[in-house]
Amino acid sequence: MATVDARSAQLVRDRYLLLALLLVAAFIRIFYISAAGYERDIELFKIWSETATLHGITNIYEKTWCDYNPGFLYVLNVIGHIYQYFSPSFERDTYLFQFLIKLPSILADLAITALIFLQLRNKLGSKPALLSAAFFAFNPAIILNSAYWGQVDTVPTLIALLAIIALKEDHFRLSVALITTAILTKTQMVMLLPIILFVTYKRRGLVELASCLVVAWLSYVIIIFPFFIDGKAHIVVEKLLGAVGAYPFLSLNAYNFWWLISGGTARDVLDTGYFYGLLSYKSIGLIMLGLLFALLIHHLNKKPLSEKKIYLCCALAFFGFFMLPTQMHERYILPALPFLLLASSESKSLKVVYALLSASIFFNLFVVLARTYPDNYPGLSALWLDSQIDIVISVVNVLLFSYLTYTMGKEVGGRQILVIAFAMIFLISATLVIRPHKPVLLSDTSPHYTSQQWGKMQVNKSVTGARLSVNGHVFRRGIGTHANSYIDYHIDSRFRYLEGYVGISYSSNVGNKMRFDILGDQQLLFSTGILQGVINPIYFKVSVDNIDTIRLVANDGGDGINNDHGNWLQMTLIP
Amino acid sequence: MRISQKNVVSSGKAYIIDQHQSSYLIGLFLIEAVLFYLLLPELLVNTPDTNDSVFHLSLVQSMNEELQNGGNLIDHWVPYWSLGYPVFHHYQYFPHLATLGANYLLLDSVPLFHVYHGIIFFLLLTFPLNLFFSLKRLEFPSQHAFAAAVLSLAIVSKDGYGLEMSSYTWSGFGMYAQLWAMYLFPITLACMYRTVITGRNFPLAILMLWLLSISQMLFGLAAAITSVIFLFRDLDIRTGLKRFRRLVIIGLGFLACIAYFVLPLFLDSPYHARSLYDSMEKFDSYGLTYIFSQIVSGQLFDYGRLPVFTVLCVSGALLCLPKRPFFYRFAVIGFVLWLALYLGRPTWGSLLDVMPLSGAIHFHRLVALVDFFGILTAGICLAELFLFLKLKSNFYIATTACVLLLIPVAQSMHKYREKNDTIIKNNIEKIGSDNEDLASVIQKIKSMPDGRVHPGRRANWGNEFKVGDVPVFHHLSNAGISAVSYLPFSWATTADYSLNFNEYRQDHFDMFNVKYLLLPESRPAPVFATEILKKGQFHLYKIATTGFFKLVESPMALYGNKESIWHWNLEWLRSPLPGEGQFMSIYLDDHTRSGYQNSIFLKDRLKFERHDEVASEPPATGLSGEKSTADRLESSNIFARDTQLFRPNGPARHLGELRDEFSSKNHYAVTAEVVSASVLLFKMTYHPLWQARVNGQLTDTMMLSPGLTGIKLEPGEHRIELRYSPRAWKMNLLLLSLVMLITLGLFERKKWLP
Repeated sequence: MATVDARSAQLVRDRYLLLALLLVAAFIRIFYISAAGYERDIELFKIWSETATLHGITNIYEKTWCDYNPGFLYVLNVIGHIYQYFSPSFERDTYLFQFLIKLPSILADLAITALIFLQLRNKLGSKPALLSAAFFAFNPAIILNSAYWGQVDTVPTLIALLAIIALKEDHFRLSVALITTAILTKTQMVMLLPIILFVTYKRRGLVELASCLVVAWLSYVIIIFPFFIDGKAHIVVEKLLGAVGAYPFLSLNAYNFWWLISGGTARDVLDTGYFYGLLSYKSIGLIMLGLLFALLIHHLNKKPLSEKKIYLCCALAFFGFFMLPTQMHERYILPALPFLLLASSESKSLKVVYALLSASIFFNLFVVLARTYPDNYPGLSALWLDSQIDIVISVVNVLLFSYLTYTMGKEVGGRQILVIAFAMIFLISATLVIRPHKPVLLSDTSPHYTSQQWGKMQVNKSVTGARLSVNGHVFRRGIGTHANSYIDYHIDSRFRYLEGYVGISYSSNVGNKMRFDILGDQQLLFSTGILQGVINPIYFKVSVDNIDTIRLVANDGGDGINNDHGNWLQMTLIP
Repeated sequence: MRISQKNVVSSGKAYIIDQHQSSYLIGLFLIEAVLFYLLLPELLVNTPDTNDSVFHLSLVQSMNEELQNGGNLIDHWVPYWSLGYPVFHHYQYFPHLATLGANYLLLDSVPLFHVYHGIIFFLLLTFPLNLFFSLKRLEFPSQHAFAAAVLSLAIVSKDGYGLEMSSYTWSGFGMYAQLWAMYLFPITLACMYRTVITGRNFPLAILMLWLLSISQMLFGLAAAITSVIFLFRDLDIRTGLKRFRRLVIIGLGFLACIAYFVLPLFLDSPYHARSLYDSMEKFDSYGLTYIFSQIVSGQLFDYGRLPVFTVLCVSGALLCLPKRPFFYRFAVIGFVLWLALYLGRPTWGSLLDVMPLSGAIHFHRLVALVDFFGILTAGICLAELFLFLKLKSNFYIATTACVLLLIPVAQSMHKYREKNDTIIKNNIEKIGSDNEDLASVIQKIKSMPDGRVHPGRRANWGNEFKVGDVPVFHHLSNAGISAVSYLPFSWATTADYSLNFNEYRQDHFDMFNVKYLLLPESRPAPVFATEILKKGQFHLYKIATTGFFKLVESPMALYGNKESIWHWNLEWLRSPLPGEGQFMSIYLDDHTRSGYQNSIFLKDRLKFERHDEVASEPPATGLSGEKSTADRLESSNIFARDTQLFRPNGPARHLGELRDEFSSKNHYAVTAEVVSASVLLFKMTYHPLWQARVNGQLTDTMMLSPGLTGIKLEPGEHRIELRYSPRAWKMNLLLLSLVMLITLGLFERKKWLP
């Protein structure tokens, strides 16, 4: 009886302690509400919130530029409706609006803190659980991201954490429904899907796996159902699929592997470029991520399938997603933190990794903030803007990631690690050794930069979407564009000639003037001069020996760009 | 109404027997009643077609003409479009033959137009019944087969071409051949399945596969590929080998049966063109990203409505994954297989080349196969949902829930019915007196000397020149009048060039023997046209041409293939050479001919080598490898700035006179008094099966730019006859196929087959 009483008292005490922890954590965060943070993000959230409220959530993608998934837009819609009650005119620069915008992520921080405590209490006891929860609640990186910056990464992270907890408790279908919700809130949560599906299969077999897939599918349909009703589901899908490739650079301020090897210039290097040989940086990144997942699945396949193992795999999945592929943002590593914390409950070394990683994330975020808005941090310019601190952070991240992978690899076994290492070496050697020996159609490769003043560059179609035709001569292969346009290809000095045809599209107005130039490393290689009217395609063959980048330029011929449709035809790079 | 099943093992095979089969029959009757209502406008349609039905109905009429004239029904010249083409030599004919057969069964008492539309109505109406019974033979339980039948015509897609009503109806695409293939596909699969499993009815399985293939080759190929799934019914190697042998027999029997059709197809493939005006997606399909987004956004199965079918289809495919009974595996493997292939070249690249006939397949049309297996997985999901709800509650609640689920589908089908009906009625209202006026014009054209008509094209004013909502060029096709205008197909080597017919150039009228120009009142006629009839909005003009024949010169030869000659032909067509009677001789995949002043060897569509003969050399010497010509070898590019494509010619010479022209569908003749060695231009698409006789002697024909027919003539008087003559062995092979089927039946009776 006395034991039961003591236990009840402990539970009550725990609750008070947790409440106190959450109140302090909340207070600290509220302190930062008025901070400008990452102004562009906050401004966009306000615009989306207003648009969703005034025009309906299904119209948001058409009414304004928006690249976020519908899950978070529902949250903004609720915020918008609340704010509209206080400010029908949607006044932007108010504390209340700022508060409401930052509130979801602050609440998510607190909810994750509570979940960490509840998960660890039974296993470790109240004090260590509370300490771990505090590690998360007062983690400067988390506070900086949610309360200061104004980002929402912890909202999908919370849902993902719930999904993993449900998985741990053998609620597989609930887990899948939750992870689908998380993915539809932020696409990078998809990193946990293979883990959840594999664990489901491992524990319950193919039938349950199939049921879970059905649940995932139905969850997706239900979440975007309003878009289906309005016949706009395809726009959501385009947004979801368009997330990859929207910013085709090596890194978008993520101080990771790519940042390190590019010497801090990753933000300016297109990931469609080639890494010495045939494979693009993007492909190499994706292959490395694939290899990591192979390792993770292999790790999960080894008995016993412990709680720690699942948490560690989740943490590594997010860490790997941040480190290996291109196009990563600085914040994409944040979801790894709660999982790493949960995995480190019985491991001192992992706790150290957690602490170091938290520090590196904090500095990564802060440097980005300081560099983006230097006026907001006048005293820090020398330290943050001019130093090599980003490289230092990248080194730390690479070391931490290598250590974590090594820790897991040790359990998997040396042979598997050897196989993966060999695969990596082979891949890189192959790209070094193999050189192109056949002509390559330029239209089969991706440009690393395009800009044009009307419409969108089309592959194997004219800019209007019709067939490629110049003076009635139809071509199957080529690029359709509109003046004034610049299309850049990184050819890495691997070809000798560029051969092709160019001309004013048949869909242009008769009498329009245009001029087409080809530049190689900014030097003029070929020019058609001013072309006018209905004339046959112009043939060219230019040397591109020792040229890294070629630029295709289609300009108006001095009579304005109206209806200036140009076609680059059968463009062939000859090695 | 309670439905229960029990598994009965009979003769070592598992069958599912329904105790209340009548319940399903009542359900099917209800589906038929609903479909009857939805399709009624199709049955009552009384206005000319405006889609591919124009093409198909004209082909039936062409076949009918052959029947009446004792010609070859399945291989004859069809002159109406693309400057003529032996359509059935390259195109499946069973739907048209069956339509003609139905017309004769009705003793010609019903106009062919109504027979045609009646068949569309009948095939669509009974497709759910067909699917139900076929799936039953594929060992689908009744409720699953029934659910699939309910959903069999429920698909609505954004891009069309699938197994949906709009692919076939009056206001849709008029895909008559696919309709027949869609109908025969489940029956064929069922027959093949029974044969593979039981070892019985080989001739029937082969016959069905044959009929399916000559309805649409793509579906025949699909059935053959799909049938491989049957081998995985039981994972027992001994049984599997036995079934494999049966499948091989069906395959070999089928190949033997189809040989009469396929062999000529391969032999004459150089004359089966792929139009440059066709979009890349038509042949290559759309790739993973586009198709995936189409599916998950509901645009592939549920365009413009809630994604009921999409949810059922994808859920059904996932539910099938772990299930043991074969029908689940059949549905999901079929769905995944055809979905994977539908992704096409953007996803698979040259890997698809290993697939038979992959070069000729329109991969975007594989959507029909995705739809078929989508119907199966959706049906499975609906049936499983019904069974689940029945288990949790009762039959009535389960039925009500399923019916409620399908309300968006019913609504969209009703909406489509109203749209179809409204478009048909609007068209009839708009026609007014135009129909009679046009009939007078058509009557006039038929009473005049034979020649083609130009009523505008789809890409220009012709598309707006209409009677009701139907363009005039469709009316001309329906009336069996040859025109340079609407192109229902692009397989003729002349097809793309007929689209470049210039209505302001008299020499183009002459070259294509376009004798008549039909213009709307608002459109001015060219100066060389003479008005011969004015009726309502229609103005009919006559243009002076030399008829279907003309004496021309051909000092230049083009050696290439059907792909590489395109830009050259277009440049030639736009040059003054057609008017000057200077034509290029074109040799496809044949570099052995000689005797030309200048010869162009095409390396690809854009690069070429030119061989000019030295003037002092005798003109008939060989070209390649000779010193005299090697000196004049030039390599160039057609669009290079300094390239002069055509050598200047001297003034046009008088080559002779033509008289006594005769023309009918498969037979043309003329008398020529030739004064100087020349080439007789026959203004019809070149095909190797045109047989030419000069003064009764068989003579070689040749292709003249841009894809017409020519015969070399020496000075003197000649009577030239040209007949389209299919190879005799084609019909012999067809007869052999029938004998083979009977023999196979006998073998089966003797139990000589596995």
